[in-house]
Amino acid sequence: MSETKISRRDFTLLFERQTTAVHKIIVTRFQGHRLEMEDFHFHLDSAVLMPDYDIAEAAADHVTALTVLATGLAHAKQNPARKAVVAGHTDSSGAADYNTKLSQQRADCVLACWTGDKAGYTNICVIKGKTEDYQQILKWAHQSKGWNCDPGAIDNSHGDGTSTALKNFKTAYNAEFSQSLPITGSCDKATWDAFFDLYNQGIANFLSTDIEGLIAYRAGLKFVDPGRKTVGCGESWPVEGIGVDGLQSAANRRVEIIFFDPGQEPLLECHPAPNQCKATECELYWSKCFKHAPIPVKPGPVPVTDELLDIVTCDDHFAPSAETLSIAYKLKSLEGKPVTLEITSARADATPLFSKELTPEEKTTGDHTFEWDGKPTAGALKDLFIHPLWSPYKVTLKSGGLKDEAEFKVLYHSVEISRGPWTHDEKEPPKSDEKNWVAYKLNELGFYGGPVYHDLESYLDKAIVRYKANHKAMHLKYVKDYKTTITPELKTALEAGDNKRVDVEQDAIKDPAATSRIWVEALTYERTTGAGTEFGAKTNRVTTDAARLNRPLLPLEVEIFLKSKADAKTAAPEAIGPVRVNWKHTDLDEDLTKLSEDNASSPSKARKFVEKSLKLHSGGPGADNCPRPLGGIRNPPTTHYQAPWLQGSAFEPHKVEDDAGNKTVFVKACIDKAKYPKRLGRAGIMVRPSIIAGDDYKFKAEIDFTGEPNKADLEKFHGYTDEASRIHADTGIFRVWRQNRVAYEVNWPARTGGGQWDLIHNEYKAAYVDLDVGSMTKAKITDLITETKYQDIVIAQTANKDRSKISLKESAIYGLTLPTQGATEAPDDYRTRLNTLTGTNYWKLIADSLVEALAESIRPQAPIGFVVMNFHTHEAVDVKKTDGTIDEAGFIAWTVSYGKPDSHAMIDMKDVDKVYYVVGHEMGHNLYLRHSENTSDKPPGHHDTEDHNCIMAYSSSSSGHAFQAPGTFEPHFCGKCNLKLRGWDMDLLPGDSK
Amino acid sequence: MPFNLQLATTSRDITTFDSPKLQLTLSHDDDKALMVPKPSRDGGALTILFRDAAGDPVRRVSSLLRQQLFNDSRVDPTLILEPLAPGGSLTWTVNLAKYMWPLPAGEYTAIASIACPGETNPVLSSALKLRVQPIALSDLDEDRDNPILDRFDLLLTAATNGHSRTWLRQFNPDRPLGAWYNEAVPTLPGATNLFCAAAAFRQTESFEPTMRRWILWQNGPQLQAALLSEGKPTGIGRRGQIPPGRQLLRQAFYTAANQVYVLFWNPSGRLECCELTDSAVVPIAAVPLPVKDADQLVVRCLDEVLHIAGPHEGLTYWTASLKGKILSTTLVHASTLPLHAVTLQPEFGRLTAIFSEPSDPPTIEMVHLDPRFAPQPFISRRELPIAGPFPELAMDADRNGRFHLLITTADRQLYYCGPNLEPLLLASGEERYFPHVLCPGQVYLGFYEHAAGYRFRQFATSANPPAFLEYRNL
Repeated sequence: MSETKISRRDFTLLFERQTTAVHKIIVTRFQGHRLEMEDFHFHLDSAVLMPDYDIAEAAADHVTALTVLATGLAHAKQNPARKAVVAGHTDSSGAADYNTKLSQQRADCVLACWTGDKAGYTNICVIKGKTEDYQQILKWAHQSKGWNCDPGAIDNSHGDGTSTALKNFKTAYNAEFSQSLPITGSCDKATWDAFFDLYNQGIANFLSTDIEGLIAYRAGLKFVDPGRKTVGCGESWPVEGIGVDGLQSAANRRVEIIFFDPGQEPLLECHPAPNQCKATECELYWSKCFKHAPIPVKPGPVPVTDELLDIVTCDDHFAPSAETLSIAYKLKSLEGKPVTLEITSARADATPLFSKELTPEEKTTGDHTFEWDGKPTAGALKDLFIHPLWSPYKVTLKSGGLKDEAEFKVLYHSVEISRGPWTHDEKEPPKSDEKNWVAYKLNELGFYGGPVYHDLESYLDKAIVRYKANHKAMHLKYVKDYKTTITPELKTALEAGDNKRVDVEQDAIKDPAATSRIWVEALTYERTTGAGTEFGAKTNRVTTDAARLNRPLLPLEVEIFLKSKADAKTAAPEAIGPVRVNWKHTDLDEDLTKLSEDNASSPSKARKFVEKSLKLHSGGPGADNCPRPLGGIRNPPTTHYQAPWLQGSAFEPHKVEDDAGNKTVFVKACIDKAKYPKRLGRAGIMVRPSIIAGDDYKFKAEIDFTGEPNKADLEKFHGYTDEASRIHADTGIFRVWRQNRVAYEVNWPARTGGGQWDLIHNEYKAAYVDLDVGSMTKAKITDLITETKYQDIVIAQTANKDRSKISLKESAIYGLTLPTQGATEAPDDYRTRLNTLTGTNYWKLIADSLVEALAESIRPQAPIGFVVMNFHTHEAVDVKKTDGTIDEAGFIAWTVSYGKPDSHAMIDMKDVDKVYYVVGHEMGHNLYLRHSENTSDKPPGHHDTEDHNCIMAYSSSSSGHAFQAPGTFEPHFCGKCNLKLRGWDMDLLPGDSK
Repeated sequence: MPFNLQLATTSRDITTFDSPKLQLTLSHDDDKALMVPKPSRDGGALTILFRDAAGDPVRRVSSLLRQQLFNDSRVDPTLILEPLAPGGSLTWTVNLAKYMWPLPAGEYTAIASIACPGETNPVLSSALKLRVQPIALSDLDEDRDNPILDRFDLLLTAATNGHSRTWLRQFNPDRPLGAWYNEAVPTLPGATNLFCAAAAFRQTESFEPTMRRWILWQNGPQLQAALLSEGKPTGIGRRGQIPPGRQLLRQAFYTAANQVYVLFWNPSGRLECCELTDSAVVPIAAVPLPVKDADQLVVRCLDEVLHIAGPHEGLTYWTASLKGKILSTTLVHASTLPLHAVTLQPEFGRLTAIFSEPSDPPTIEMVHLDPRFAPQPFISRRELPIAGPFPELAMDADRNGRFHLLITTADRQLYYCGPNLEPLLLASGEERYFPHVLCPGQVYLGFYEHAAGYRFRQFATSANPPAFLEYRNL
């Protein structure tokens, strides 16, 4: 019996055999060896091969697409004679032609991945890829490689998470594969290329080879029909629901790699062209013709899914030293492997700021949280705390090839301005350090003793003199006699806290809406010798002020706060970093409405004159403080920003630096914990305004990232878009005021009625001179000097030498019996002679000595402050006509009122209606003001020549201007006087208000 | 307007040394009494305006300006009204010496006006013409003393056409702008060498002594004296023969009882003090002094003590009793320069002296001190950029010890030299200026100019440039 083996392909062949014999014809089927790529490696209507499905939903040891491909390569290597074909299939839902095409595309994609055809893969992905495809690939990359590219939910929707994942993927990819993909949030062709590289890496890993080895594997692949390596069978060959159209079947959606031994190869003419399938002519899936044996695929181990390292969450920011950074992570199957957590910053060198190998407890499979205190263990910040300036920071969790990263920041929250201390440790220097101790105490007592440990510009010497001058026990008659010596008496007084006074009001430090005063003494002129005085030359006010007064000092500090995890203001001084704080000031427009108006009852030009003068030597927009050439500190706009601060390092530890380009000064926050523990995280400046009353300032401290290499990042993190958006704090308004007081009012004789002090107070207030008129002592002359003393003065200074005829009268200055009027003496002659006798020949001669006698009595009680003595020169007397009848009853001569040295205003109060005018006038002299028009000594240049209403003119004189009539017009200081009272050098002021 | 104001004078033709007196008569024709300013207390209601020949106003005076010219006190504007009877009139005299300094040579028109209550416009007088003639000053004596008020008198002698006329003018030295009076002294035939006597006393009971002043003059061998009151003769006089061989010093003093003392220099080296009685010169005391040049001696008497300063070893100050006993001797200043002039005011303990050396470089040394209390004088030595010699020098020291100096030069120029100032030319062309400086507080410079007569003017040294201050009140 003959035996003939044929295949179904031979059925069309003619076999001739003898009819009488028994012939055995065996029909055999061809054999194929099949690898199947399951449906869940493709998304619906997608041709992109997924390397794996979501391992979160998979069994620990499952077959991945890459496993299949690797197995295929391994199979080919083990069976080098076998030839392969890749066949794609769909289910029957949808049109047959569409399904054929889709199955072809899927087969092509698998082929590309299997054979290493990146271009082929990418082309299909670009054409037939979906969002959920790359979302899943990203998640796979995150899970398998530990890259921070988890897009979150695979929802086929490209949101921020997907964009971020793509960026992070590309960043990680570039790093690992030394590529330079643009870091974008889109999935472009290059991205698919990158995905392909990961596929290759995965396949190679499975084969325990590398890319070169993979190429060798692929080199041995043979195909049934090299011109038709893939076929798209569409819905023709379901494995379930055969004959059922419209069936959605995961099992039917598949791609198969089928190997054939030589001679077993199928004919593929059923696919005459791509995307064509003639199922009736198909051999491959004609079960009577071919049988397919599955090639076993080993499931797992799947390293990428088995070992998991994932930073689940990390705080966006935190406040080191005040709280910890929480890093939540998940590990899986890494118990036996080293797992490292690192903190790095691009601002640091290559060494991580912090590096830690997780302990066994910290790397068990499951969820963990690591709390980091923010204290680096290496690098420039070792043992300190990280700070905002090096943001962003990166936390990296890694183990072997697994790695995940997260970014976090340290952020500034806000700044607050407060009054700073005189010493960095807020302690007074030891008394043995005499000069610095005295400077400290003088500062504490409000006398501007100068920067402690950094005396400059004779601050200490001037303050010592001012303190002594203000002290009852140390006040001297002549200012020239003061020594700057530190005496035991001075130290005792300082120790006791004598004479404490407010230097700067505090409200405006923290309240931007408040206005505070900076106090400067309103010095009055003093004797410079026994006879001469400072009152004279026009510049004496300015030169004596400069010689005696210190510019005020106001130590300001900005405290810088961090933003906590919960975005709250958090004090973390050790983690502030050397951030730059700009200190700026605004010179505010003056409110001129406080100056007297030019109206019918008060024809004053003060407002007009002051307005004209304020804009001299422009200091930029709004600037109207006293300019430097006129005694102030206002500079031209180019350097004005430097004006009101103490430059350099005198306010320890803060160093004021100059940024001329940005027209600001700045101070870097103190970070020296060892030396300045109380100043940590603060940036201070010593405000040093002018001594010119009316000058005002509004200060601002702002955090500025200028100079930081990561300025752009820092500005972005802190929401900086312009200068106004910078983190800053404003103070309120500080305005310089001159200060003095009326210490004594001596009435000679006693009088009733007020002294119009409120009017006087307001007049000086208009020039920012605060005159305390509420605490004066009122006295009679006999309370202050003895009759003997008075007699001594009269005898020494006048032609009256007979002591027995001289008495101290409470009624008037003239201490002798008045001459009687002669029988033929005309009344006006008698009046004039009385005036000459009691005024020129008496009062005028004893005035200086009387002032000194008053001072001897008063200064031990009130070393500083005006002594206003209101007097009548002589007792009232009836003046007769030559016929003996009364010409004028109760006549009292008007003599001379004086502003004398040492703040003595001697006022002839004959006309009580003019108290305001005359007292204001004489006190003006004390404050260096000279006479205006209508006086006998009206030095030119001291007044606004357009202003006829100045108090420094004489009232109602024959040659006076009509405006100088008190009762009719209300006098005021002219604008030039106003500015001189403030401290301006009026020599350079305009001549008039026109 | 019911009011009428008349302005008149008895002397329309005057000299630059005269201060005329104007009579004013205010009347009204209303049938009821009207209130008018009281002339003695008019609060400035009355003004008199002077215009020059061109009609330009040159000066306006009032009682308020008068106050300003006498004292630097604040001006008292008190106005007192008094009734003027129905149809009544009021006549009073204004002595212009008190209201202004003499007018310079020229022709003037004066018009008075007075503001009366209820009248919209001031009442104007008719115009009064005045003609002022210049006159040459030939001699001047001055004296400052303090019988009750500090006073400064000028005895001005002008020679015209072979005869001389004299005026006595009295100032408050603290403010020598207005004068207490300025009176022409009755002609003294044959009088030469006129000078004033200083009061050697002080009292405070009345102002009467202030108005009184003895003047003395030489008439051949006779020495005569007359007591004037407000520049007018009182009829009281003295006369006596000058002792032979004695040099008359132009200095004298008198007591409250009108005892007049005169001083002679005995070439034997003694200062002789004699009383000038009604008819004789009676020796009182002789003080031996080591002085070579008696012209430089200054002698004052106060409370029966003689105060003497003179050139000895520079400048020496002595006190002596009226019996001739030297009480004290003080070398004030030992200068190497010749002494030029000395002033002495014992009432105020004030002594000043000028030393000068006109050679190249011209040098001035000025000294000021209170010999009672301050033995250390203020001294200023200056080399002047002005060629000497200096025929006239006048100096005073202000309260701060700074010196103010007037200098005339041989080429007839008058300079002011103030502290820290270069010499300032004030005037030129006069043969003599008779300069005088007073600086009690402000600086007042007195000097003669032919067209203006003699006057003090306030000099504002702090002005830029320093300048005279005028009180024209226009």
